[in-house]
Amino acid sequence: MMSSSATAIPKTDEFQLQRFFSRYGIYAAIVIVAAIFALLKPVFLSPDNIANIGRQVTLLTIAAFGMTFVILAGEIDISVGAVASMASVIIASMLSAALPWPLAVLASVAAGAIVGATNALLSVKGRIPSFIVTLGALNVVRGFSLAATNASTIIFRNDPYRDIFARSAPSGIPSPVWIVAILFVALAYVLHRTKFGADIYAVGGNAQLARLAGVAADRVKIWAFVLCSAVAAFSATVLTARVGNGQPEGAIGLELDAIAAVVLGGNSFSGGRGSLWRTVLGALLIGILNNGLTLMNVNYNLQLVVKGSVIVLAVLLDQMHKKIDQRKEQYAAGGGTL
Amino acid sequence: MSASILSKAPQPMRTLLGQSGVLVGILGLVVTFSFASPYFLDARNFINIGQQTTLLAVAAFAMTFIILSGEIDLSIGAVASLLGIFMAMTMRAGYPMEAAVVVGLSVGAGIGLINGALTLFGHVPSFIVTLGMFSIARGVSYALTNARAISVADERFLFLFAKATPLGISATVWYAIVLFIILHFLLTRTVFGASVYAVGGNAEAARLSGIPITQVRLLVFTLAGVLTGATAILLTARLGTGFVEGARNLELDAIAAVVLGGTSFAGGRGSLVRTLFGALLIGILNNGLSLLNVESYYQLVIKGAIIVIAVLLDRWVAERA
Repeated sequence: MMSSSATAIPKTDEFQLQRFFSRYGIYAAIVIVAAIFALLKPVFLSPDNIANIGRQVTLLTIAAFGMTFVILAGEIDISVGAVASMASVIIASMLSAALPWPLAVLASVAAGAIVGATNALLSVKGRIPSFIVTLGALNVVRGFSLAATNASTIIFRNDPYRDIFARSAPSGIPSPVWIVAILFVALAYVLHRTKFGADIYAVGGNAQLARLAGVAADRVKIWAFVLCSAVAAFSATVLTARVGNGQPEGAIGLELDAIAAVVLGGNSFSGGRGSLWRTVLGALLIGILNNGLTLMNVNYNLQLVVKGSVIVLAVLLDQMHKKIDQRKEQYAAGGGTL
Repeated sequence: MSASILSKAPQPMRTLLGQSGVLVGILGLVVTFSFASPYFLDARNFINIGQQTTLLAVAAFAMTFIILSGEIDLSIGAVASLLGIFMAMTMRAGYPMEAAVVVGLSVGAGIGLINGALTLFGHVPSFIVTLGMFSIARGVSYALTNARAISVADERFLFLFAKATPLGISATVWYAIVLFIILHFLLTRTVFGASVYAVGGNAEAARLSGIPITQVRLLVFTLAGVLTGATAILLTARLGTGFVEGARNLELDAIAAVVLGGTSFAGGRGSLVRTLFGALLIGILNNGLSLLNVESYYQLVIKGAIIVIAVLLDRWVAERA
């Protein structure tokens, strides 16, 4: 009953088809979904709407960048939405006190990094599962943001700040998109070209092995948490500029969308396998879905249903090919009986 | 400091303290609150605490089975709200409350089964499956109600599941007690219960020793779905409505209750008694802080801090025992 020994071994070309889908499935999904929307609503492909998609997807993409590091390292952070909300409150408060915007942005990111460092120390040194630590942090940070603002929205006026992070558009591309692009290049460099990046993969793949191989696993995980929270806080810079105020619960739930983007892109939820580019693709797919469904007047409620189904379906497909890959490896290793 | 107390205490005492540090937490809270507020020790307040804790406790029972088996369910709150809406709609359509109860429990079981099947046969982590289910359940709830509350038309339903007070104790509390006894028996005195621990502790070893691990896990997800249905019944009866936000964040509080009680988040170690204490701790905390007029914002802060501190202490005590 338990063993799948009766399953037939797929033919080689089937393997290759599966592998093709695993590598390019997310591209196919994006192209197909975009094509459907373009056919049904020609306005979908208009430059204005494409710029819209870019603008809408930035907050999610930035938060998902940070989440990618934590998930690749084999951990999870569900305090991201609360941290981004807190950062938004900090920025709005400082700007309403007429402080210079670079200081506000810096302070919010620093506050995020402090939350991340606390999460990291409790999880790594205290050996508490990161889900529990960040669940605690979610409550604490959210409570402080609500208390500090008395649950009200903080309004500010600072046009230079909003111009830089939300409005002005060099060469027609909205500035948030530029920011995401710059952040992507910087973080992709860290993840794919530095020792720290390589260590993240090693720790997420097999922490024990990584330790034996001389990787400072604890330190790597700690920095992954700090980076995640700092980046999440930075996403609030873009959010706050766009909406023009700070809300203590403005980004609640962002963590779930960020996790969805990371996993949709095909990054392994258990760590050690994936890339930052995949996260971009995952976020883009979510952004296109949201935008297209809104264009077609599908109400927000059903968008939730579609999003939930797509997440599960995508991971399901991803797992199916992986399992076949494994079987092929076992077969190639001469196991014979599968 | 508790380590030094522990090392001097006699063995049975040490075991008790080590196993349920949460009891110490509860005692500490009770003493603090009874000094701080004259109303805390009032009999009526205890009934209040009981009522406030039961919903969380039943949801946390479901979560206990899931976590013991090494999985997680993020959809409990959203699904409980959805089931509440289904039940309110069933009664509004003129069906008797029995039909609504059957709908709540069986649709709950179905959703649990789907979660389980996708996790087990699709090899998708339960975190992702139930995150998707969370989104779907919320979406369907909004779509069905347009974010409006649907009031329960059947007085009998409200009476039977909320307003009745046999022996002066709210019906809600009675249901939680009965459920606790049944589930505790199931977990500690049956083959199924033993299998849940085995699967969560070491699935591979459990499989090799002949336990049908897939069936056990599937049954756990289904049972959790049924218990989510039970939560929805009690919730809907108490609110008197089916509502999208009826059980918002219930899953997070349930996870907190399970872990606060000292059940291992990695599975295989823990009990329903622990969960009951964990839920009670959260219930007493909420009640006491409200009595002391602590703002709800700071209640969040304190709850979050206590979750982490409790687990930290638990780990610390376990290491020295």
